Amino acid sequence: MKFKIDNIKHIFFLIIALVLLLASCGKEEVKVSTSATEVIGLYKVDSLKKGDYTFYVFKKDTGYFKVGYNEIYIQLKNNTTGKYIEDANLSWKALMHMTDMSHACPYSAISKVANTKTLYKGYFIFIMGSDDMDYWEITYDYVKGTDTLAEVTNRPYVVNPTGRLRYKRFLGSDAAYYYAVLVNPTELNVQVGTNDITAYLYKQVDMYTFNPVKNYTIEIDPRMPDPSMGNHTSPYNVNLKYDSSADIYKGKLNLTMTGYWKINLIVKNSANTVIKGDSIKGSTTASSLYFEIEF
Amino acid sequence: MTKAILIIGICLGLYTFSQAQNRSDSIKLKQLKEVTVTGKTGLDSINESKPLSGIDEYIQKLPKVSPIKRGGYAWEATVNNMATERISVTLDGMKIFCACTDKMDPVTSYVEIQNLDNIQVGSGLSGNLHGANSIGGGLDLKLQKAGFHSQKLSLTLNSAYETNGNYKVLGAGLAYSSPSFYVNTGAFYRKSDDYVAGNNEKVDFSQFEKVNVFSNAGYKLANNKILEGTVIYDVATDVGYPALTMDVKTAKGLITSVSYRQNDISNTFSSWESKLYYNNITHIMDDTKRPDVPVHMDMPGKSRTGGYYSTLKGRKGKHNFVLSQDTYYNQSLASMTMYPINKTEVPMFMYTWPDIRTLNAAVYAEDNYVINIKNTVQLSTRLSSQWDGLHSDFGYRTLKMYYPDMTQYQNRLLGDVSAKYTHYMKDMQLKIGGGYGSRAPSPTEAYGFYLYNSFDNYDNIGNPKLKNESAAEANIAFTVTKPNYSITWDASYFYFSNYIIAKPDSSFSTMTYGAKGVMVYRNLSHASIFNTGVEAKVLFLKNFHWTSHLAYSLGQENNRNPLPLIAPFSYSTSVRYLNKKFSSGVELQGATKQYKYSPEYGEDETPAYYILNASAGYDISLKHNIVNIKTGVENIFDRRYSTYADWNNIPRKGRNVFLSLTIHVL
Repeated sequence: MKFKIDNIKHIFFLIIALVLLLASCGKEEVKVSTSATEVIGLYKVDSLKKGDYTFYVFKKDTGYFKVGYNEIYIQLKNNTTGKYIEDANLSWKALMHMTDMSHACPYSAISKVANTKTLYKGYFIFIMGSDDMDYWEITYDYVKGTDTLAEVTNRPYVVNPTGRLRYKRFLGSDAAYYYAVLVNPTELNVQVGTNDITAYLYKQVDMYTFNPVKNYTIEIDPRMPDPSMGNHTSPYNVNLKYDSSADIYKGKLNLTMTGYWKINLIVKNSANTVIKGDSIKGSTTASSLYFEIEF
Repeated sequence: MTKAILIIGICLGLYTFSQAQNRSDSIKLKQLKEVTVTGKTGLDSINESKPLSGIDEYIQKLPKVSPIKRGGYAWEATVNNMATERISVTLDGMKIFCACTDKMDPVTSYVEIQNLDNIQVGSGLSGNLHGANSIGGGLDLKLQKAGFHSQKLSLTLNSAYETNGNYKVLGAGLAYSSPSFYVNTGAFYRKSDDYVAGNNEKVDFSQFEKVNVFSNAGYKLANNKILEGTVIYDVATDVGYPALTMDVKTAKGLITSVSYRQNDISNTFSSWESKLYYNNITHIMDDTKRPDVPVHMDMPGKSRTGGYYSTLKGRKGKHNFVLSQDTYYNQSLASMTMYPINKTEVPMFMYTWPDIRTLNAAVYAEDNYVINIKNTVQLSTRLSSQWDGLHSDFGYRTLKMYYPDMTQYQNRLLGDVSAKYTHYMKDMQLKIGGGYGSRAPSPTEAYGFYLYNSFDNYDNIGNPKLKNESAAEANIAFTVTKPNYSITWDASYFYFSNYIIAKPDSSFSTMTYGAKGVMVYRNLSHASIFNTGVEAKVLFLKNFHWTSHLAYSLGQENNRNPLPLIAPFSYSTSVRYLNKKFSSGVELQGATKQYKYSPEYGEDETPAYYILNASAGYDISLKHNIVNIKTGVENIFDRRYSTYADWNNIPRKGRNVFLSLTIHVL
């Protein structure tokens, strides 16, 4: 009997020890943010060295640029000191060189990523892919005061790996050219169920100037256009409204299964006038303005 | 209503043969109070007009039971005009749930008639010991066990052939009995090509093939302590469903149980049985053999159930009581992958049963109180707690689009109470009963996602917000029994609250090619189902049995619209000649036009029909071997007909000649 009680005691203490061990494992270790840890999980797109400095360019989803929206992360290293610049004033621009013309694309300014020391971010919306004849040229600038400390230009390849449409240029009913650009969901995070959908809307001023459009609405009607699916749609989607705090259009997108979805769009201005797009009814099975998602 | 016990004939188990054969027919008629047809194995191979027919045809003959038919195989039993969601189908008390979202594999399809000793039909809410979530009643399929007897080995061989569909049956059963150990084991094989309806109309995709192997064993640990176990493995392949858009590649069932029983525990407690069981059902649909399929799909499903029950039976004074506790856990998982017509697109995937988990724990109590020799009262009650939900996050996210405030899991409290009073008079018996009970929505009703119903041509979406369905039931039965005839009239009425049924919802978009719309399961405030029937049996000229049935049912929604799949007025009458060796009979069965039907659910007016069947059989004794030969003709006039329960009006079999041969070798 004594033996048994001892055994039970041992087991009891063992369990307590295990619980404590597990509890301590559960505690989050104090993270020391370094230039290396801050890019964990990011894919490196380019390392661009110019003089004393190297620009490291990263992306979250892929190690290359794609047509449409690209969220881009940058680190800048001083090659002499080996240190990463923590208070850099960075800027960039992109230019598409075609045989008989050139144009730019919509893009953001570069800002520091909150709670990091060395990471900066911004986005480009590449409005076409590159090939042997037509290429994108991106210039990164590191400016201090009036001095440009480093400027580097490269010609990254911009591709559309899925062939699916994630941005669309269109002529609005107000005779202006617009760009509708799907930001989220991405191919990586799209899921069956409710997705947060975000998009940008840009108005083209000229070949080199694109202004973000505020306070429009983007109505969505997701459909499965495969002939077998009878243009199936999902219920309770929420149209995209402009969120001024994040400077982006936000809504809810419901997808009932995996497969190929056409997200039909109607863009309306703040006066609720249709700028572009068609509602799906009767013989109209798709809008002239849409995004494509396939997963 | 009565717990009618219908003991069906099975080819295996010779041990009762000699006993059974000695029973006289007049004794049988006396047993008709509770037992519709009685007798075991050998006797039944004389009495059953078609002893080696499939289980579907047996179920069809059970009182209050009528199967919904989607093809030549795997018919879905209904009791009191209520189908799978409202009845329980158990195998020796074991809960088994089908793995097909389209009801192509009712539980009965995973057993073979040879596995069974009898099927107990429970009607309504009273005394349904094993019936979880059942309102309409239940079938408990009782396993065939060789039992503890003096040492004996028996071997039975079966074969049968039917001309219609080139239907072949082969089977063998071996049974060993001894005072402390028994084992019976066997294998059965069936294969049918497409059958032919009346007027020589071939019904494409009505073929099937099935193999069933099983083994039962029992061991006496002590004189009153018994350990028993069962394994059944059943595989159906290449099963056609002419009424549906898809067929079945394989439907596999592995059914296992082990039980411990103690008899004669004390003066009060007569038996205590505890059983642990597990079953695993997998079901793979197949549309690759169909012509002109707009979109090919993979639709696999699986259902796994584990559980136990512990039942104590006893007697104290004038009380015969049953106490039971049972718990089961089920996983139902089914998915659909659709291959788009546009081949540049990726396949489309979704869960149709998103890994639905159900844990149900119940206590059951029953008391049969004998007030005096003329009056008895039976009281029963069940209380159960059910936890169910979606284990798949994918599936949860899917359904949450439709029900944003749903939770991933939920709890339900369910229960029923019933009372039945029986009064015995000279040659007469009166039963009056009533009850109230509730059931949880079935996995399909609560969580099914875009399940296509080819009957009404709608896609169906489950509703996790459904309330429990409840029903009040009243029933009456009156029987007159005389030496040469008996007649029984019975009626039952179910008044439902929160009746669960799918209703069109135009706000949702179809998924299935060509579907008319989407239905969503809802609670109707009220519905009712009324059933009544008369059964008369007459014994004349010593060996002639004349049996007649009339049945009528009425099912209505709260707005008085008819419920779907309710039987019209139907009748059957048969005359059979039985003596010890020879049996023969003719049978007429039919139904009137289905006046009350539900166009909303895809029904149309099924025309009246009648068919005539005839059979004959003979037993030959050859020293130690007994050979039973049976032959007959069904649907003699080769009429083309379908009943209200034939999915999409697929016609039933035309003229069919059958021949069966059972040899008791040892």
